Amino acid sequence: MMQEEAYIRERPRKWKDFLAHNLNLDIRKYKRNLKKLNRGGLFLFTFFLILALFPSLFAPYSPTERFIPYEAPSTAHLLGTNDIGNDILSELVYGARISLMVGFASASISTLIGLMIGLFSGYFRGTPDELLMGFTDVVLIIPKIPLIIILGAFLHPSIWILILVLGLLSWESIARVVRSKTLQIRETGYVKSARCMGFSSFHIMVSDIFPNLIHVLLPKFMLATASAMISEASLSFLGLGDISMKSWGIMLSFAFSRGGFIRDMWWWYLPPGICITLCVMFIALMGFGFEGREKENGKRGVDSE
Amino acid sequence: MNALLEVKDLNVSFQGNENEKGNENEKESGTAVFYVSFSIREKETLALVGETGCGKSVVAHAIMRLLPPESRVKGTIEFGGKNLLELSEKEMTKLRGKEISIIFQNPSLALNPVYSIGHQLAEPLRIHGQEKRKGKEWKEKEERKEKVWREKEEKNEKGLKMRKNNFSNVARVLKRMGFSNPHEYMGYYPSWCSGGMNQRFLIAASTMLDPVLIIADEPSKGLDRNRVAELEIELKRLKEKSETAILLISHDLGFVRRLADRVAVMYAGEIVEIADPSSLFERPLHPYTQGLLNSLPERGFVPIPGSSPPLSSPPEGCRFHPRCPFKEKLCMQEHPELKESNGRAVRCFLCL
Amino acid sequence: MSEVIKKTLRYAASFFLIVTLNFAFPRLMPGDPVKNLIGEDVYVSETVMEELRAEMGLNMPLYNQFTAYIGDLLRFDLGYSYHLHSPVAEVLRERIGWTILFVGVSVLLGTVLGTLLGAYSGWKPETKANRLVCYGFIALSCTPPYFLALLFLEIFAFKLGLFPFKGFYDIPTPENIMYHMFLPVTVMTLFSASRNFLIMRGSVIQEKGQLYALYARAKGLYDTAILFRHVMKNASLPIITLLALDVGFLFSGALFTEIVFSLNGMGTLIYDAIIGKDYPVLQGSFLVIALAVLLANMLADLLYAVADPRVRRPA
Repeated sequence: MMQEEAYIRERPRKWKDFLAHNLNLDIRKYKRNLKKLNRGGLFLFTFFLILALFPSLFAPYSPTERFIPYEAPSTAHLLGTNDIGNDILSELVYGARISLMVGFASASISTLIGLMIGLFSGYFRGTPDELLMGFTDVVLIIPKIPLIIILGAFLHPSIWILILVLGLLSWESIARVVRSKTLQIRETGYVKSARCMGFSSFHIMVSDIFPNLIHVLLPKFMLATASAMISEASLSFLGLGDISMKSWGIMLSFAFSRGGFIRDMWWWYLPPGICITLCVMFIALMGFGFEGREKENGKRGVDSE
Repeated sequence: MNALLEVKDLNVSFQGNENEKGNENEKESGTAVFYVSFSIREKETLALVGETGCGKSVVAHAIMRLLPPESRVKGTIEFGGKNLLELSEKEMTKLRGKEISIIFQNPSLALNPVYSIGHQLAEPLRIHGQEKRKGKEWKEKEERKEKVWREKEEKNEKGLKMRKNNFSNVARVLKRMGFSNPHEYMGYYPSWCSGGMNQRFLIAASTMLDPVLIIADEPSKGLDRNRVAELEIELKRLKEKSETAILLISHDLGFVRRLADRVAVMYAGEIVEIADPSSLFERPLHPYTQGLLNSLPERGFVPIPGSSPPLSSPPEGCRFHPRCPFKEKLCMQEHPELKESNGRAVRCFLCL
Repeated sequence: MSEVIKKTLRYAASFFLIVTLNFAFPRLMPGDPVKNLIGEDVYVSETVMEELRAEMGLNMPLYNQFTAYIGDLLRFDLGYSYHLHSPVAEVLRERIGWTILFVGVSVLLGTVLGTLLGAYSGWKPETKANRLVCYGFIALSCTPPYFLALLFLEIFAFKLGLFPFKGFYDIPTPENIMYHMFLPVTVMTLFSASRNFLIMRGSVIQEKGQLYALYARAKGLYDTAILFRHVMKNASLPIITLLALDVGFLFSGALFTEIVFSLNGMGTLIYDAIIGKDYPVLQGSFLVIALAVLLANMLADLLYAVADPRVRRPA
């Protein structure tokens, strides 16, 4: 009862409390300040999201339209133009879509794989658990970025392969978390009663366990998105990105390799870098926020028992 | 007999929801302890009883000044002529563990899992050993003790010299507590031992420096019958052998009856009755004390109806009146004071 | 005991997987395996290619190829780089020392800095400064390492001219090397510190609510003494494993930093190999890095067993 009430009371403040729970900061006293920051963070992330969804509303030109190359910022080109004369601001706006897409798509893949492996090994326990978790541990040790580099070098990736590779290689921590949570949930009364009533394992997993995993999955998904975006940017920097789809990482890499850096054109290399950092940070903060909430809920659950 | 510890009008409130009750509304501040006054004489055992959440532990932590920073503590706690609440953190640190020490209710969690028992037991010696030179009295006392020990040691163990004085002290204390081979146990870690064993280690650590006051915060909680009996023996020996006053906090009335010299009953953050155990258990005055005693298994297992009020919004008038079988109109309107009469005190309009 | 066996088995499996992956890449990836094994941009005639195919045993069944490959590995033969005209093992040996020095120094500094600051920040009550530092480290951990390196290079080397912007040294004296390494090491230290800071902070916040911390206070320990004597040791236990898993990540970060600062270590080697499609070098680098990470993890497991008495409980 108590918990339900608390939940209802908290519900309307959900968005405001994002950062409040972030990283377990003892923030009660500073709530007002944080709310400001928090709103700002969420607002900016939404801004990036809108950029990614409707780039044509914000970009002054098409990203492939050509002007005079290497131009400094002016009223016509707020962030100047690059080596082949594309408007950098437009590129930046269109890049949001690609960067975010890579992040979210590969995070979806890894979350899905992690969910399935974790759910199976947590629910069935015993030998499947031993095998799957053993496999997870084995994969966890292999360093991801070098592996992706070597795969990228052999495959000359399109953006889809990049998404797939990033997604396929970062599910381990999700699987672990899901497994431990599943182990907890499967011992709860409602799962036991569902088992007694003879529902199939599949049914129990989908309708009883999965809904309770969402709290754990959401922060993990956010953090996976953040790290996938950084990985994509890093790979692009090495020239392993998809040149036909200009993400922020590719822009930054071009700025570095095609003279933006040497010519001191800060308006070329600074904006994509800052965009990546900020965007990743907001996503990660949201993830931390969910994680903090989850911890708090967990604690309360223990207390009420 | 002069008072060792004198608590006057102690008030503890928590801001925000960080207190251990947890589910208060955030903006309301809960008052956990409400004008609590009592005193402990030297070598006396005062028991503080009451149901869970009535603020007993808060009192204990307030004396040690261990409450979280969100708490507001008012009143005075006089210990050896000093008001503990006005001491600087540095002075307080010197008192903790040396003059006043505490035994927590969950021994397995109170011991640090990554240090060996010996290390942790020697810690009070190590911490306060550095200050030995400063206090003259302490030094003399210590020297006297050391002399006695040395004589004993030379006699018994033909001058066996330990590498570290601290560790030999620890071993001695453990031996005194009935551990046959203390050196083996000193190498153990808390996770290797049972809860009862850890409890004894904890008591050993807390009594290592012969403090003047020991606060035992629900030491019997979570232990099974045999362990409680063992603990009782332990505490009794502590009482008899050393010159220590004990503030015993417990909800186990039988345990309290066997150990305490005086008993204070707490309800909803207030002391409702103080008396010596024999008169309290035989002739309880306050309706709450009566209710508590009636809820004991040997007295018929009759629970008190209702539950304790939330600390954030205590009822008007007498705090016990919603559950009191004898309540009158006055009880709902006015808040009774703690009144003393021939050696016992009670907070009730009806019991005078 | 069965835990130990399980762990050993897992490490063996990881090792096997790494080696197998390395073996499989050139043979399974699209394109001619010979090309994949010698590097794409090497121009050789048809006849030479066939000779090479026979020489490398690519006509043999896969099983034989695998045993031959393992044999090569045992002799530290990682193939031959046709770009650099020298055996890969040789090339790696030349470069890896610098990278290990670079990574070692920065990870050490970063770990010390990050854990200490993180512990302190988690221990002390929440103040504005504390929160600011915390957000600073979150921002650092969210910055792609090479962007941070670029910024530092731009500001401190180009704009302010305080530090050189290229290479490990002009003249190989310790002072000169330190002077050259200062910026890249700072970048990597910050990067590694930011990760440690966040983990340690969370860990300390969790631990400081534990009863033993309160008990330490009750024993009469000073505030910071509780942190350093009691809480830190408990809080750093999870750090050990996380740190080991992070080694791979930090290694990659170091690669990017090397590229930006044109340091002649593994990073630039890999970068050049990617551009030149020098597959043998890439494979060799992957193998070496993966094995380093594997070793780090094993070390962490050993360390954990020593540090945590709960693991080595007598039966």
